[in-house]
Amino acid sequence: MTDRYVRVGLAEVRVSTDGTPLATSGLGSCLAIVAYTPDDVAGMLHAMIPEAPDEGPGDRPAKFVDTGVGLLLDRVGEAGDGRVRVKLAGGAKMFDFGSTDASVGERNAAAAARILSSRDVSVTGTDLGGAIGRSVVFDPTDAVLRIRGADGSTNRI
Amino acid sequence: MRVDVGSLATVNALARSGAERGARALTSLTNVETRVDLTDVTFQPRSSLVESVADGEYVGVHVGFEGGLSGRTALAFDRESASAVAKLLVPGEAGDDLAQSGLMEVGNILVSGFIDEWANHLGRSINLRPPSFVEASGARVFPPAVREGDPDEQIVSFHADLATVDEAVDVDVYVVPGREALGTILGAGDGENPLAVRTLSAFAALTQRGAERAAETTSAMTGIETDVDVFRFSAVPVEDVPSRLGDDRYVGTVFGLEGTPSGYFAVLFDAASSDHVVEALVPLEDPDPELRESAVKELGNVVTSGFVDGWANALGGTVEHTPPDYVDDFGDAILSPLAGRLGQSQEVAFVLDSIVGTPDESVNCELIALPEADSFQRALDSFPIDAALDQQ
Repeated sequence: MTDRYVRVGLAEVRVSTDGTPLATSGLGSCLAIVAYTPDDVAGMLHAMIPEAPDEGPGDRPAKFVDTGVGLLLDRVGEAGDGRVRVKLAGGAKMFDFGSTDASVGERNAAAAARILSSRDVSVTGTDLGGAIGRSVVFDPTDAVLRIRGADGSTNRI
Repeated sequence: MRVDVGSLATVNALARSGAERGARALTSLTNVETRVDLTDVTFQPRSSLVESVADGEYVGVHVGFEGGLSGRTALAFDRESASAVAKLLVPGEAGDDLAQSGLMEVGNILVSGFIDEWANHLGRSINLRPPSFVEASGARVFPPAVREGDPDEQIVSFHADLATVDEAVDVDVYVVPGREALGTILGAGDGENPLAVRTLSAFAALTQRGAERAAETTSAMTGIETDVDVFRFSAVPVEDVPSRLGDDRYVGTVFGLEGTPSGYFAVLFDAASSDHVVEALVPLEDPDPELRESAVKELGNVVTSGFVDGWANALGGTVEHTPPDYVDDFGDAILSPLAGRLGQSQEVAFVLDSIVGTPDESVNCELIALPEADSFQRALDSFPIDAALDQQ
Protein backbone atom coordinates (compact mmCIF):
# COMPACT_ATOMS: atom_id res chain seq x y z
CA MET A 1 0.00 0.00 0.00
CA THR A 2 1.28 3.48 -0.76
CA ASP A 3 1.71 6.02 2.00
CA ARG A 4 -0.48 8.50 0.13
CA TYR A 5 -4.07 8.78 1.24
CA VAL A 6 -7.11 10.73 0.29
CA ARG A 7 -7.99 12.10 3.74
CA VAL A 8 -11.70 12.40 4.36
CA GLY A 9 -12.69 15.03 6.93
CA LEU A 10 -15.81 15.06 9.03
CA ALA A 11 -18.88 16.00 6.98
CA GLU A 12 -17.08 15.23 3.72
CA VAL A 13 -17.42 12.85 0.81
CA ARG A 14 -14.28 12.20 -1.21
CA VAL A 15 -13.76 9.91 -4.16
CA SER A 16 -10.61 8.10 -5.31
CA THR A 17 -10.42 7.08 -8.97
CA ASP A 18 -6.73 6.12 -9.25
CA GLY A 19 -6.45 3.45 -6.57
CA THR A 20 -5.24 5.83 -3.83
CA PRO A 21 -6.52 4.61 -0.44
CA LEU A 22 -9.13 6.66 1.42
CA ALA A 23 -8.61 7.33 5.12
CA THR A 24 -10.47 8.92 7.98
CA SER A 25 -9.94 9.10 11.73
CA GLY A 26 -11.87 10.00 14.83
CA LEU A 27 -14.91 7.81 14.25
CA GLY A 28 -16.67 7.80 17.60
CA SER A 29 -20.41 7.91 17.09
CA CYS A 30 -19.75 9.01 13.50
CA LEU A 31 -20.00 6.61 10.57
CA ALA A 32 -17.53 5.96 7.77
CA ILE A 33 -19.39 4.64 4.76
CA VAL A 34 -17.34 3.34 1.84
CA ALA A 35 -18.87 2.76 -1.59
CA TYR A 36 -16.82 1.04 -4.27
CA THR A 37 -17.10 -0.44 -7.75
CA PRO A 38 -15.25 -3.36 -9.41
CA ASP A 39 -13.02 -0.95 -11.39
CA ASP A 40 -11.21 0.35 -8.26
CA VAL A 41 -13.27 3.52 -7.91
CA ALA A 42 -14.20 4.20 -4.30
CA GLY A 43 -15.68 6.97 -2.20
CA MET A 44 -15.87 7.54 1.53
CA LEU A 45 -18.38 9.53 3.59
CA HIS A 46 -17.68 10.59 7.21
CA ALA A 47 -21.10 11.58 8.60
CA MET A 48 -21.99 12.62 12.16
CA ILE A 49 -25.78 13.04 12.45
CA PRO A 50 -28.49 10.53 11.41
CA GLU A 51 -30.93 12.78 9.60
CA ALA A 52 -30.92 16.21 7.99
CA PRO A 53 -33.51 18.61 9.42
CA ASP A 54 -36.86 19.02 7.65
CA GLU A 55 -35.67 22.21 5.95
CA GLY A 56 -32.80 20.30 4.31
CA PRO A 57 -29.08 19.80 4.88
CA GLY A 58 -27.99 23.30 3.84
CA ASP A 59 -24.55 23.41 2.26
CA ARG A 60 -23.21 20.38 4.19
CA PRO A 61 -25.17 17.32 2.99
CA ALA A 62 -22.27 15.06 4.02
CA LYS A 63 -22.79 16.01 7.68
CA PHE A 64 -25.92 13.84 7.74
CA VAL A 65 -26.13 10.09 7.10
CA ASP A 66 -29.34 10.26 5.05
CA THR A 67 -28.30 13.02 2.63
CA GLY A 68 -24.61 12.01 2.71
CA VAL A 69 -25.24 8.43 1.58
CA GLY A 70 -27.21 9.71 -1.41
CA LEU A 71 -24.35 12.03 -2.35
CA LEU A 72 -21.76 9.25 -1.91
CA LEU A 73 -23.67 6.72 -4.04
CA ASP A 74 -24.28 9.29 -6.77
CA ARG A 75 -20.64 10.37 -6.94
CA VAL A 76 -19.22 6.83 -6.91
CA GLY A 77 -21.89 5.67 -9.38
CA GLU A 78 -20.92 8.48 -11.78
CA ALA A 79 -17.15 7.92 -11.51
CA GLY A 80 -17.14 4.11 -11.51
CA ASP A 81 -18.42 1.33 -13.68
CA GLY A 82 -20.49 -1.58 -12.43
CA ARG A 83 -22.43 -2.34 -9.33
CA VAL A 84 -21.76 -0.22 -6.23
CA ARG A 85 -21.12 -2.08 -2.97
CA VAL A 86 -20.79 -0.64 0.51
CA LYS A 87 -18.88 -1.21 3.77
CA LEU A 88 -19.56 0.57 7.06
CA ALA A 89 -17.60 1.26 10.24
CA GLY A 90 -18.10 3.36 13.38
CA GLY A 91 -21.35 4.24 15.13
CA ALA A 92 -19.97 3.54 18.61
CA LYS A 93 -21.94 4.28 21.74
CA MET A 94 -19.29 6.30 23.53
CA PHE A 95 -21.43 7.60 26.45
CA ASP A 96 -24.91 7.07 27.83
CA PHE A 97 -25.24 10.05 30.22
CA GLY A 98 -27.63 7.95 32.26
CA SER A 99 -30.14 7.87 29.38
CA THR A 100 -31.77 4.78 27.90
CA ASP A 101 -32.46 6.46 24.53
CA ALA A 102 -30.65 5.16 21.46
CA SER A 103 -27.23 6.84 21.17
CA VAL A 104 -26.20 9.01 18.22
CA GLY A 105 -23.97 6.14 17.07
CA GLU A 106 -26.82 3.62 17.08
CA ARG A 107 -29.11 6.03 15.26
CA ASN A 108 -26.41 6.79 12.67
CA ALA A 109 -26.06 3.07 11.92
CA ALA A 110 -29.85 2.62 11.73
CA ALA A 111 -30.20 5.59 9.35
CA ALA A 112 -27.51 4.11 7.08
CA ALA A 113 -29.18 0.68 7.05
CA ARG A 114 -32.52 2.28 6.18
CA ILE A 115 -31.29 4.37 3.26
CA LEU A 116 -29.00 1.65 1.83
CA SER A 117 -31.85 -0.83 1.88
CA SER A 118 -34.20 1.67 0.20
CA ARG A 119 -31.59 2.16 -2.57
CA ASP A 120 -31.13 -1.63 -2.84
CA VAL A 121 -27.37 -1.40 -2.26
CA SER A 122 -25.57 -4.49 -1.03
CA VAL A 123 -23.56 -4.14 2.19
CA THR A 124 -20.50 -6.41 2.07
CA GLY A 125 -19.02 -5.68 5.49
CA THR A 126 -19.66 -3.84 8.75
CA ASP A 127 -17.75 -3.05 11.94
CA LEU A 128 -20.30 -1.11 13.97
CA GLY A 129 -21.16 -0.27 17.56
CA GLY A 130 -19.08 -1.03 20.62
CA ALA A 131 -17.78 1.73 22.84
CA ILE A 132 -14.47 2.73 21.27
CA GLY A 133 -13.28 5.10 18.57
CA ARG A 134 -11.93 3.87 15.25
CA SER A 135 -9.64 5.00 12.42
CA VAL A 136 -10.11 3.42 9.00
CA VAL A 137 -8.30 3.06 5.67
CA PHE A 138 -9.93 1.66 2.53
CA ASP A 139 -7.79 0.37 -0.31
CA PRO A 140 -9.82 0.45 -3.57
CA THR A 141 -7.47 -2.05 -5.25
CA ASP A 142 -8.34 -4.92 -2.88
CA ALA A 143 -11.62 -3.53 -1.49
CA VAL A 144 -10.49 -4.15 2.10
CA LEU A 145 -11.43 -1.72 4.88
CA ARG A 146 -8.73 -1.78 7.57
CA ILE A 147 -9.87 -0.65 11.00
CA ARG A 148 -7.80 0.37 14.01
CA GLY A 149 -9.51 0.74 17.38
CA ALA A 150 -8.50 3.21 20.08
CA ASP A 151 -7.64 0.20 22.27
CA GLY A 152 -5.06 -0.97 19.72
CA SER A 153 -7.32 -3.64 18.20
CA THR A 154 -7.37 -4.14 14.43
CA ASN A 155 -9.92 -5.56 12.02
CA ARG A 156 -10.26 -6.10 8.25
CA ILE A 157 -13.59 -6.31 6.51
CA MET B 1 -29.98 45.25 23.05
CA ARG B 2 -29.71 41.55 23.87
CA VAL B 3 -26.87 39.42 22.62
CA ASP B 4 -28.11 37.02 19.98
CA VAL B 5 -26.01 33.84 19.87
CA GLY B 6 -27.32 33.48 16.33
CA SER B 7 -25.15 36.45 15.38
CA LEU B 8 -22.11 34.36 16.33
CA ALA B 9 -23.38 31.66 14.00
CA THR B 10 -23.77 34.23 11.24
CA VAL B 11 -20.28 35.64 11.66
CA ASN B 12 -18.90 32.12 11.66
CA ALA B 13 -20.72 31.35 8.41
CA LEU B 14 -19.26 34.55 6.96
CA ALA B 15 -15.78 33.52 8.06
CA ARG B 16 -16.21 30.10 6.46
CA SER B 17 -17.50 31.41 3.15
CA GLY B 18 -14.76 34.04 3.19
CA ALA B 19 -12.12 31.38 3.75
CA GLU B 20 -13.66 29.19 1.02
CA ARG B 21 -13.64 32.13 -1.39
CA GLY B 22 -9.94 32.62 -0.59
CA ALA B 23 -9.22 28.90 -1.00
CA ARG B 24 -10.90 28.85 -4.43
CA ALA B 25 -8.85 31.84 -5.57
CA LEU B 26 -5.67 30.18 -4.33
CA THR B 27 -6.59 26.93 -6.08
CA SER B 28 -7.01 28.70 -9.39
CA LEU B 29 -3.76 30.64 -8.92
CA THR B 30 -1.62 27.62 -8.04
CA ASN B 31 -3.52 24.78 -9.76
CA VAL B 32 -3.26 22.84 -6.49
CA GLU B 33 -6.50 22.10 -4.69
CA THR B 34 -6.66 24.09 -1.47
CA ARG B 35 -9.34 23.47 1.12
CA VAL B 36 -10.58 25.01 4.35
CA ASP B 37 -9.92 22.69 7.28
CA LEU B 38 -11.25 24.85 10.06
CA THR B 39 -12.85 28.18 10.75
CA ASP B 40 -13.61 29.65 14.12
CA VAL B 41 -14.51 32.90 15.77
CA THR B 42 -12.68 33.07 19.06
CA PHE B 43 -12.73 35.29 22.15
CA GLN B 44 -9.59 34.88 24.18
CA PRO B 45 -7.29 36.93 26.39
CA ARG B 46 -4.35 38.38 24.48
CA SER B 47 -2.04 36.14 26.52
CA SER B 48 -3.74 33.00 25.13
CA LEU B 49 -3.56 34.19 21.53
CA VAL B 50 0.15 34.91 21.99
CA GLU B 51 0.68 31.52 23.69
CA SER B 52 -1.11 29.65 20.87
CA VAL B 53 1.63 30.58 18.36
CA ALA B 54 4.53 30.73 20.85
CA ASP B 55 6.49 27.75 19.55
CA GLY B 56 6.29 28.41 15.81
CA GLU B 57 8.64 29.90 13.25
CA TYR B 58 6.58 31.74 10.70
CA VAL B 59 6.55 33.67 7.52
CA GLY B 60 3.65 36.06 7.58
CA VAL B 61 1.83 38.76 5.72
CA HIS B 62 0.03 41.64 7.44
CA VAL B 63 -2.85 43.40 5.74
CA GLY B 64 -4.83 46.23 7.30
CA PHE B 65 -8.37 47.15 6.27
CA GLU B 66 -10.39 50.32 6.71
CA GLY B 67 -13.49 52.11 5.46
CA GLY B 68 -16.77 50.36 6.26
CA LEU B 69 -14.86 48.22 8.77
CA SER B 70 -11.37 48.56 10.18
CA GLY B 71 -8.94 46.09 11.66
CA ARG B 72 -5.87 44.00 11.03
CA THR B 73 -5.23 40.62 9.54
CA ALA B 74 -2.25 38.35 9.75
CA LEU B 75 -1.50 35.28 7.69
CA ALA B 76 0.93 32.83 9.16
CA PHE B 77 2.66 30.19 7.07
CA ASP B 78 5.01 27.81 8.76
CA ARG B 79 8.37 28.05 6.97
CA GLU B 80 8.00 24.88 4.89
CA SER B 81 4.56 25.95 3.74
CA ALA B 82 5.84 29.38 2.78
CA SER B 83 8.55 27.89 0.62
CA ALA B 84 6.07 25.39 -0.87
CA VAL B 85 3.70 28.24 -1.79
CA ALA B 86 6.54 30.27 -3.26
CA LYS B 87 7.53 27.25 -5.41
CA LEU B 88 3.95 26.81 -6.64
CA LEU B 89 3.75 30.45 -7.66
CA VAL B 90 7.26 30.85 -9.02
CA PRO B 91 8.56 27.50 -10.27
CA GLY B 92 12.32 26.99 -10.19
CA GLU B 93 14.74 28.70 -7.86
CA ALA B 94 12.87 31.87 -6.98
CA GLY B 95 14.90 34.73 -5.58
CA ASP B 96 13.84 36.03 -2.16
CA ASP B 97 12.20 39.10 -3.66
CA LEU B 98 10.08 37.07 -6.04
CA ALA B 99 9.10 34.59 -3.33
CA GLN B 100 8.21 37.47 -1.03
CA SER B 101 6.02 39.20 -3.58
CA GLY B 102 4.33 35.88 -4.34
CA LEU B 103 3.46 35.38 -0.68
CA MET B 104 2.15 38.93 -0.39
CA GLU B 105 -0.06 38.27 -3.40
CA VAL B 106 -1.41 35.15 -1.69
CA GLY B 107 -1.99 37.21 1.47
CA ASN B 108 -4.02 39.73 -0.45
CA ILE B 109 -6.10 37.01 -2.11
CA LEU B 110 -6.96 35.25 1.15
CA VAL B 111 -7.72 38.42 3.07
CA SER B 112 -9.87 39.72 0.20
CA GLY B 113 -11.93 36.54 0.54
CA PHE B 114 -12.88 37.43 4.12
CA ILE B 115 -13.31 41.14 3.55
CA ASP B 116 -15.49 40.73 0.46
CA GLU B 117 -17.89 38.54 2.43
CA TRP B 118 -18.21 41.14 5.18
CA ALA B 119 -18.55 44.00 2.70
CA ASN B 120 -21.39 42.14 0.95
CA HIS B 121 -23.08 41.21 4.22
CA LEU B 122 -22.92 44.73 5.64
CA GLY B 123 -23.45 46.54 2.35
CA ARG B 124 -20.37 48.66 3.03
CA SER B 125 -17.24 49.27 1.11
CA ILE B 126 -14.05 48.11 2.83
CA ASN B 127 -10.58 48.91 1.55
CA LEU B 128 -7.43 46.84 1.96
CA ARG B 129 -4.15 48.58 2.71
CA PRO B 130 -0.97 47.39 0.99
CA PRO B 131 0.38 44.17 2.57
CA SER B 132 3.64 43.99 4.49
CA PHE B 133 5.90 40.99 4.86
CA VAL B 134 7.25 39.53 8.13
CA GLU B 135 9.49 36.63 9.10
CA ALA B 136 9.07 36.03 12.78
CA SER B 137 9.15 33.68 15.74
CA GLY B 138 6.06 33.18 17.86
CA ALA B 139 3.64 36.04 18.41
CA ARG B 140 5.74 38.49 16.41
CA VAL B 141 3.90 37.09 13.41
CA PHE B 142 0.99 39.28 14.58
CA PRO B 143 1.02 43.05 14.06
CA PRO B 144 2.02 45.05 17.21
CA ALA B 145 -1.55 46.31 17.69
CA VAL B 146 -2.67 42.69 18.12
CA ARG B 147 0.17 41.25 20.20
CA GLU B 148 1.01 44.21 22.45
CA GLY B 149 -1.17 45.52 25.27
CA ASP B 150 -3.01 44.30 28.34
CA PRO B 151 -2.49 40.49 28.46
CA ASP B 152 -5.97 40.02 29.96
CA GLU B 153 -7.81 42.01 27.30
CA GLN B 154 -10.23 39.82 25.35
CA ILE B 155 -9.17 39.68 21.71
CA VAL B 156 -11.69 38.50 19.15
CA SER B 157 -10.23 36.82 16.11
CA PHE B 158 -11.58 35.09 13.03
CA HIS B 159 -9.35 32.19 12.20
CA ALA B 160 -9.21 29.84 9.24
CA ASP B 161 -6.84 26.98 8.62
CA LEU B 162 -6.28 26.28 4.93
CA ALA B 163 -4.30 23.38 3.54
CA THR B 164 -3.54 21.86 0.17
CA VAL B 165 -4.81 18.31 -0.26
CA ASP B 166 -1.33 16.81 0.12
CA GLU B 167 -0.83 18.95 3.25
CA ALA B 168 2.38 20.48 1.87
CA VAL B 169 0.91 23.90 2.48
CA ASP B 170 -0.72 24.86 5.75
CA VAL B 171 -1.69 28.45 6.37
CA ASP B 172 -3.48 30.12 9.26
CA VAL B 173 -5.40 33.28 8.56
CA TYR B 174 -6.25 35.54 11.52
CA VAL B 175 -8.52 38.54 11.09
CA VAL B 176 -8.73 40.82 14.11
CA PRO B 177 -11.41 43.48 13.72
CA GLY B 178 -11.20 46.71 15.68
CA ARG B 179 -13.57 46.98 18.64
CA GLU B 180 -16.05 49.21 16.86
CA ALA B 181 -15.97 46.97 13.80
CA LEU B 182 -16.68 44.01 16.01
CA GLY B 183 -19.85 45.61 17.31
CA THR B 184 -20.95 46.15 13.74
CA ILE B 185 -20.21 42.56 12.76
CA LEU B 186 -22.03 41.13 15.77
CA GLY B 187 -25.04 43.25 14.93
CA ALA B 188 -25.04 45.14 18.22
CA GLY B 189 -24.71 48.59 16.72
CA ASP B 190 -21.75 50.94 16.65
CA GLY B 191 -20.04 52.31 19.69
CA GLU B 192 -16.88 52.19 21.71
CA ASN B 193 -17.96 49.27 23.84
CA PRO B 194 -20.78 47.35 22.22
CA LEU B 195 -22.96 45.27 24.52
CA ALA B 196 -22.51 42.04 22.55
CA VAL B 197 -18.77 42.24 22.88
CA ARG B 198 -18.94 43.24 26.55
CA THR B 199 -21.33 40.42 27.44
CA LEU B 200 -19.48 37.71 25.56
CA SER B 201 -16.15 38.95 26.90
CA ALA B 202 -17.49 38.98 30.46
CA PHE B 203 -18.97 35.48 30.07
CA ALA B 204 -15.64 34.28 28.67
CA ALA B 205 -13.83 35.86 31.64
CA LEU B 206 -16.24 34.19 34.07
CA THR B 207 -15.62 30.82 32.44
CA GLN B 208 -11.90 31.42 32.50
CA ARG B 209 -12.15 31.82 36.27
CA GLY B 210 -13.88 28.41 36.31
CA ALA B 211 -10.81 27.01 34.54
CA GLU B 212 -8.57 28.67 37.11
CA ARG B 213 -10.55 27.00 39.90
CA ALA B 214 -10.16 23.70 38.05
CA ALA B 215 -6.39 24.21 37.97
CA GLU B 216 -6.38 24.95 41.71
CA THR B 217 -8.44 21.81 42.39
CA THR B 218 -6.12 19.68 40.28
CA SER B 219 -3.10 21.10 42.10
CA ALA B 220 -4.68 20.47 45.52
CA MET B 221 -5.69 16.88 44.72
CA THR B 222 -2.52 15.77 42.94
CA GLY B 223 0.12 17.94 44.61
CA ILE B 224 1.24 18.88 41.08
CA GLU B 225 1.24 22.65 40.56
CA THR B 226 -0.94 23.40 37.50
CA ASP B 227 -2.13 26.60 35.87
CA VAL B 228 -4.42 27.70 33.01
CA ASP B 229 -2.21 27.92 29.89
CA VAL B 230 -4.78 28.77 27.29
CA PHE B 231 -8.38 29.82 27.41
CA ARG B 232 -10.58 30.29 24.34
CA PHE B 233 -14.26 30.75 23.67
CA SER B 234 -15.08 29.96 20.06
CA ALA B 235 -18.03 29.63 17.75
CA VAL B 236 -17.34 26.84 15.25
CA PRO B 237 -19.46 24.71 12.90
CA VAL B 238 -20.47 21.57 14.86
CA GLU B 239 -18.64 19.37 12.36
CA ASP B 240 -15.37 21.15 13.21
CA VAL B 241 -15.61 20.41 16.96
CA PRO B 242 -14.03 16.90 16.98
CA SER B 243 -10.93 17.96 15.04
CA ARG B 244 -10.04 20.40 17.83
CA LEU B 245 -8.44 17.49 19.69
CA GLY B 246 -7.11 15.57 16.67
CA ASP B 247 -6.54 11.83 16.86
CA ASP B 248 -4.18 11.79 19.87
CA ARG B 249 -5.25 9.57 22.77
CA TYR B 250 -6.94 11.21 25.74
CA VAL B 251 -8.01 9.79 29.09
CA GLY B 252 -10.64 11.44 31.24
CA THR B 253 -14.28 12.00 31.99
CA VAL B 254 -17.28 13.39 30.13
CA PHE B 255 -20.41 14.82 31.76
CA GLY B 256 -23.85 15.92 30.64
CA LEU B 257 -24.94 19.30 32.09
CA GLU B 258 -28.52 20.25 32.99
CA GLY B 259 -29.44 23.83 33.83
CA THR B 260 -28.49 27.24 32.51
CA PRO B 261 -26.60 26.38 30.50
CA SER B 262 -27.20 22.72 29.62
CA GLY B 263 -24.76 20.84 27.43
CA TYR B 264 -21.60 18.79 27.90
CA PHE B 265 -18.33 19.10 29.76
CA ALA B 266 -15.16 17.06 29.24
CA VAL B 267 -12.03 16.83 31.41
CA LEU B 268 -9.42 15.12 29.24
CA PHE B 269 -5.76 14.44 29.99
CA ASP B 270 -3.39 13.55 27.21
CA ALA B 271 -2.32 9.93 27.58
CA ALA B 272 1.12 10.60 29.08
CA SER B 273 -0.13 13.10 31.63
CA SER B 274 -2.96 10.82 32.75
CA ASP B 275 -0.23 8.45 33.95
CA HIS B 276 1.36 11.26 35.99
CA VAL B 277 -1.99 12.25 37.46
CA VAL B 278 -2.92 8.68 38.41
CA GLU B 279 0.52 8.21 39.96
CA ALA B 280 -0.08 11.31 42.08
CA LEU B 281 -3.62 10.32 43.06
CA VAL B 282 -3.03 6.61 43.78
CA PRO B 283 0.02 5.96 45.93
CA LEU B 284 0.46 2.39 44.66
CA GLU B 285 2.94 0.77 42.31
CA ASP B 286 1.08 -0.08 39.06
CA PRO B 287 -2.57 0.35 40.20
CA ASP B 288 -5.16 -1.86 38.47
CA PRO B 289 -7.36 -0.38 35.72
CA GLU B 290 -10.37 -0.09 38.01
CA LEU B 291 -8.44 1.99 40.51
CA ARG B 292 -7.01 4.19 37.75
CA GLU B 293 -10.50 4.74 36.38
CA SER B 294 -12.00 5.64 39.72
CA ALA B 295 -9.16 8.10 40.47
CA VAL B 296 -9.65 9.85 37.13
CA LYS B 297 -13.44 9.94 37.67
CA GLU B 298 -13.07 11.40 41.15
CA LEU B 299 -10.77 14.17 39.90
CA GLY B 300 -13.13 14.84 36.95
CA ASN B 301 -16.09 15.09 39.30
CA VAL B 302 -14.48 17.64 41.58
CA VAL B 303 -13.07 19.72 38.71
CA THR B 304 -16.46 19.76 36.96
CA SER B 305 -18.41 20.76 40.06
CA GLY B 306 -16.05 23.67 40.69
CA PHE B 307 -16.24 24.73 37.07
CA VAL B 308 -20.03 24.75 36.68
CA ASP B 309 -20.65 26.22 40.15
CA GLY B 310 -18.96 29.39 38.88
CA TRP B 311 -21.62 29.67 36.16
CA ALA B 312 -24.46 28.82 38.54
CA ASN B 313 -23.35 31.38 41.14
CA ALA B 314 -22.96 34.20 38.62
CA LEU B 315 -26.28 33.41 36.92
CA GLY B 316 -28.16 32.80 40.17
CA GLY B 317 -29.28 29.30 39.12
CA THR B 318 -28.02 25.75 39.26
CA VAL B 319 -26.18 23.54 36.83
CA GLU B 320 -26.41 19.81 37.61
CA HIS B 321 -24.05 17.31 36.05
CA THR B 322 -24.48 13.60 35.31
CA PRO B 323 -22.19 11.01 36.90
CA PRO B 324 -18.85 10.85 35.06
CA ASP B 325 -18.48 8.72 31.92
CA TYR B 326 -14.87 7.45 31.87
CA VAL B 327 -13.16 7.53 28.49
CA ASP B 328 -9.82 6.43 27.04
CA ASP B 329 -9.91 7.08 23.31
CA PHE B 330 -8.92 9.21 20.30
CA GLY B 331 -9.64 12.89 21.07
CA ASP B 332 -11.81 13.41 17.98
CA ALA B 333 -13.75 10.20 18.66
CA ILE B 334 -14.52 11.43 22.20
CA LEU B 335 -15.90 14.74 20.94
CA SER B 336 -17.86 13.29 17.99
CA PRO B 337 -20.93 12.09 19.95
CA LEU B 338 -21.10 15.40 21.83
CA ALA B 339 -20.97 17.37 18.59
CA GLY B 340 -23.40 14.88 17.04
CA ARG B 341 -25.96 15.43 19.81
CA LEU B 342 -25.65 19.21 19.62
CA GLY B 343 -25.70 19.09 15.84
CA GLN B 344 -29.25 17.80 15.78
CA SER B 345 -30.52 21.19 16.88
CA GLN B 346 -27.79 23.71 16.03
CA GLU B 347 -25.31 24.32 13.21
CA VAL B 348 -22.73 26.18 15.23
CA ALA B 349 -21.24 24.99 18.50
CA PHE B 350 -20.00 27.29 21.25
CA VAL B 351 -16.79 25.84 22.60
CA LEU B 352 -15.28 27.02 25.89
CA ASP B 353 -11.91 25.42 25.80
CA SER B 354 -9.13 25.68 28.40
CA ILE B 355 -5.81 23.95 28.77
CA VAL B 356 -4.68 23.35 32.33
CA GLY B 357 -1.14 22.17 32.73
CA THR B 358 2.31 22.37 34.21
CA PRO B 359 5.04 24.53 32.63
CA ASP B 360 7.04 21.40 31.65
CA GLU B 361 3.89 19.94 30.00
CA SER B 362 4.12 16.75 32.06
CA VAL B 363 0.46 17.41 32.88
CA ASN B 364 -1.75 18.69 30.11
CA CYS B 365 -5.52 18.70 30.58
CA GLU B 366 -8.18 19.94 28.15
CA LEU B 367 -11.36 21.29 29.73
CA ILE B 368 -14.03 21.58 27.07
CA ALA B 369 -17.51 22.96 27.72
CA LEU B 370 -20.10 22.68 24.96
CA PRO B 371 -23.26 24.54 25.98
CA GLU B 372 -26.43 23.81 24.07
CA ALA B 373 -27.43 26.91 22.04
CA ASP B 374 -30.87 27.74 23.49
CA SER B 375 -29.72 27.41 27.08
CA PHE B 376 -26.54 29.34 26.29
CA GLN B 377 -28.77 32.12 24.98
CA ARG B 378 -30.76 32.02 28.25
CA ALA B 379 -27.51 32.15 30.22
CA LEU B 380 -26.36 35.26 28.35
CA ASP B 381 -29.82 36.87 28.70
CA SER B 382 -29.72 36.44 32.47
CA PHE B 383 -26.05 37.33 32.82
CA PRO B 384 -25.52 40.25 35.24
CA ILE B 385 -22.84 41.72 33.05
CA ASP B 386 -22.00 44.84 35.09
CA ALA B 387 -21.64 42.90 38.32
CA ALA B 388 -19.43 40.38 36.55
CA LEU B 389 -17.25 43.10 35.09
CA ASP B 390 -16.92 44.76 38.51
CA GLN B 391 -15.51 41.54 39.93
CA GLN B 392 -12.68 41.41 37.40
